[in-house]
Order: sequence, then C-alpha cells, then structure tokens
Amino acid sequence: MMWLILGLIIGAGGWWLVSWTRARKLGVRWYEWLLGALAVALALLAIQNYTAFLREMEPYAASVMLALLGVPGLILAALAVFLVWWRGRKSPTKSTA
Amino acid sequence: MSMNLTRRELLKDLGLLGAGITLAPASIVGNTVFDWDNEQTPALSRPSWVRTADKPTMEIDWEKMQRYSEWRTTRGSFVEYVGKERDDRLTKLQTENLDRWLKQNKPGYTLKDRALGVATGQGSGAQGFLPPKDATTPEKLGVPKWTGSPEDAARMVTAAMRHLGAGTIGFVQLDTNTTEKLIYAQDPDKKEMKIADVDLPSEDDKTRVIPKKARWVIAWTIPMSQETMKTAPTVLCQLTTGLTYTLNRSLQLRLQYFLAGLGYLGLGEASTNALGISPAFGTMAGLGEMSRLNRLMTPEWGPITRVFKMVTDLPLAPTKPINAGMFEFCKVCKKCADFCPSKALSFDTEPTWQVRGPWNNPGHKAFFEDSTKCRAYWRQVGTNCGLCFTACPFGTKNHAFFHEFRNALASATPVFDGALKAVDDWINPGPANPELGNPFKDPEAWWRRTDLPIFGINTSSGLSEI
Repeated sequence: MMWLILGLIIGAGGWWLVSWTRARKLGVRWYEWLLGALAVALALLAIQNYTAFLREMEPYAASVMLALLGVPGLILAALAVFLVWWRGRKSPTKSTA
Repeated sequence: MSMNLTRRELLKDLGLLGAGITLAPASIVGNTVFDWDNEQTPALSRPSWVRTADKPTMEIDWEKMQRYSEWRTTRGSFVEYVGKERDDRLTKLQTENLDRWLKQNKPGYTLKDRALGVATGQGSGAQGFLPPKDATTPEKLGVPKWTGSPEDAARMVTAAMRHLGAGTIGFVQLDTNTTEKLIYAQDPDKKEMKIADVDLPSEDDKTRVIPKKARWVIAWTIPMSQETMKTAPTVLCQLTTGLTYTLNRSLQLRLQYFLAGLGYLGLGEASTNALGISPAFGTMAGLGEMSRLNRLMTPEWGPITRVFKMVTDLPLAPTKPINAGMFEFCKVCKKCADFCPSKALSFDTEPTWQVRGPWNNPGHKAFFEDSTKCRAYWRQVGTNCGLCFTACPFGTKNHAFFHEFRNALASATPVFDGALKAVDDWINPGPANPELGNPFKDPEAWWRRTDLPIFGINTSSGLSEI
C-alpha cells in the first residue's frame, strides 16, 4: 500500500512539476530531468531501506542506509534545482516571458 | 535542448513510471515476475537469484572421502583432544562463570534466560532411528501402499514437511561411491551404522542397520530466530538452537509416522546430529552452500538455521546443489573469522583439502576450523556461542532492498563481494563491548519485545503468503 501511495504521489508530483516548469517557461534541460529522476530513485531506495531495516529491528543500519542513499539523493535534487535557477538567473527574461 | 513533452506523452511516461515502481519490488523479491532458473526443484520455491548446479560450489574428492564416525567430532572426543586436565579446568570455569553471571544479573544469563532455556528443551516427541511401531500403515488399513512418480513423491513430502514445520526441503539419492559416504560409520553413541541387503531396519546394542533398498535421504532445514541469535553468545541466544532441536524431534517423529502411513520406511537421527553429516546432505540437496564456518549457508536465512535428515525407501526425485555465490563471498568476507572470539575459523582466502584435526572429515576442499578452540570458548561462556552465525552478512531478515540487491549481485558475480562486505561492515559493526560473554545485541531489549514472530521465525520467507 505504501508503494501504491508513493507511486501516486510521484506521478501527481511529476505531472505538476512538468506543468509548472512549462507554465513558467523554465526550459529545463534533459540532464536536469535525469538528475531529478535519479534523486527520486535514491529517495525511494532510502525510504525502502530505512523502513525495512526498522522492521528488521536494526535502527543503526536504518540510519546508515538513510544517510548512504538519502544524502546523495538530496545532493542530486539540489544540483538539478540549482542548475535551473542558475540558468534562469543568467537570462531572467526567459523565466518571466 | 529543452524537454518538450505533449500532455499525451507525459501521461504515458508517468503511467510507465508508476508501473515500474509498482513492479520493481516484485521482480526483486519474488520468482514470479522473472525467474533466473527454471530448473529448480518443482517442489520448492526458492529466491529468484538462486541458481542450481550439477556440482556443489565446494569441491569434493569422493575417492578420498570415507564414512566418518560422528563421535570423532569435538562433541564426542573433546576430552581426548585437549586432555583431562584442561577439560576439568574448563568445566570449573564454566560453572563459575554461569553462577557469577546469574547472581550478577548479567544480561542474557539471568534467571529468566536460564528458565526459558530449560523450557525450550521440553515437550518434544521421542527421537529414534527406527520407525514407530504403532503407525497406521496401509497394511493395517487393508489398502496397498502409496505409489506415484519420484517427482510426485518429492512434491507430496515437501508439502507435508512444510506443514510440519520444515523451512526448506531437498532430496539426495544414495550412491555407494559418493553420497552414501555421508552416512556416518558410527553414530554419536558409537553404534556402527551398517548398510546391508536386508528387508527391514534393525537396531541392537552395537549396530543400526539401514536396508540397502532405502536409497533416498530427505534433508531439511528448520530456521532459527535471527533476532534471538543476535544476543550471542548468551544463554538467551543458545535457546533458539535448543528450540530448533526440540521442534525437530517432533517433526522427525511426525515424518516417520507420515512415511509409515504411506507404507515406507523413515529412518531418523537416533540422537542430535546422528545418522549422517547434516551440512553435507544439505549441500548435496541444494538447501545451501558450504561456508567459511564449515557449516551450511542457506539463501533464505544464511547460516542461522539447523539441518536435519532422514533415510527412506520412498523413491524421491533428487534436488540439485545450488550456486548462489555465497561460498565465493566467504572467500572475501572473513567477517565470521574476525568476530570469532577464539579465532577458531580459517582466515585463508582459498579453501583447502588439509584438515585441521581429526574432528574434520577429509575429502572436501573447505575452510576447516579448529573445533577445539571453538568448543573451549563454548565452555567458558557456558553456551554454544553463535557469534560467527550472528556476524554473517547473509544472516539477515531480508526485508530491506539492500539485502536482495546484495544477494542478487553476489550470485551474479564475485567482483563486488568486497564492496558489499564493506557496506555490511557499516551497517553491522558488531558488539560495542566484545568482552567475554558480552552479546551482539542487548538481551534485555529482546525481553521488552512482545511482537516477535512465532518461534522468532519469519515463516513466509521465500514462499507464498496465505
């Protein structure tokens, strides 16, 4: 059930994100979408491993796996957002057109 | 290049993404979405990454191998190997340590641990080599005995044994020049195990006779509680071993009744670890691979299981050995040897034909252990330790994706074994205070858990859930 809900959230969230970037005419590059997708994949892996290690009664391992997978996921997500923001800052007319 | 998706394309992609996310876990944990190996025994559902093989991953020299006498292990000959003086000293130490830790309320050695330890040994069925005499046989019912193909028999026995409490089940056909050598020459009580051309089995003061027509061995596992095992090396840890033996004594008796009810022989272990070499039969039956522990390592529970066997004249389709990359992983890992407080396990990178002492049986290329060191530590802590089982990266509960990923990757290639072991070191660093008798995990935390599964075992592992 958790994965169904997460799938719905990701699907709806992805749809909103694409619509929003197009409405704002942000011109997101393909590699920025790829970075975002990798970030989502790592976040999902982090969530699965964290919750499953807790089920296994291994809270220390849960924390380690959350850090091992979650931190790179956050970095990739931040990098994707930064790249879009940085390009928009260089050509502000594009984002407001 | 900017992304330019139409709404239709976007919806299609999102649909595919959702389907992928939903199906991905099923493809990893099950064997229904894709099956790596469709030659697995039809009677047993195994993890998808387990591959069958014509030979075990451990090399065997059948010509060199001879039938072994069980009493030559340190279970039966420890005093002979270490001398009476040292044995007496260890006995004194064991008594003193257990008494002191009981009075100190040392976690894992308290009164409640001792009480539960004794309790788990109670209530089992009678254990014997010969089939029960009061079984309701087809002859008594006036009907012919059960007949069917060896494949049908294998499936039927597997279904029955799962219901009786076995974890995984496999079958070995006895061959005079090979697998028959895994039947002990002498049992733990030094009775000679004869294989003779007779119609019925028998037992007297000196011998047990297996009829030559009984050519099949049923080998099975009963998993132990991983969470209880994590309290190694305490009394609390030991009782999961004790409980498994107790459960098996009942299972063995019930299996003997079942086979007799079908019209066939079921020749059991006369006592604990009797009849034949359990890890060897488990390996030949494909229940697992041999490991650095010189014990059986299973895909389902790692080494945290016990292995049992029974000889029968019911023809059964043999199951194949497996290769899940675990023996290869052991070559790199060495974590059990590191954690072994007595340094009894091999640190060699490659297995060897050279045994460490008469407690080992020559004829297989293995990681032989110094069993006297192991047994001496048992005596000091007053239990059967289990720290090596606990340290094993494969002895996990396998809910987390990482475990499935590790298992699949280790099975596919040994290239990443070192990296996988390094990750395991991060997530499973071991006991904070590894002094004599101190446990891997806090036994008092175990006593606060009231939500552990029945017998501490995840019985749905690798199998369908009802």
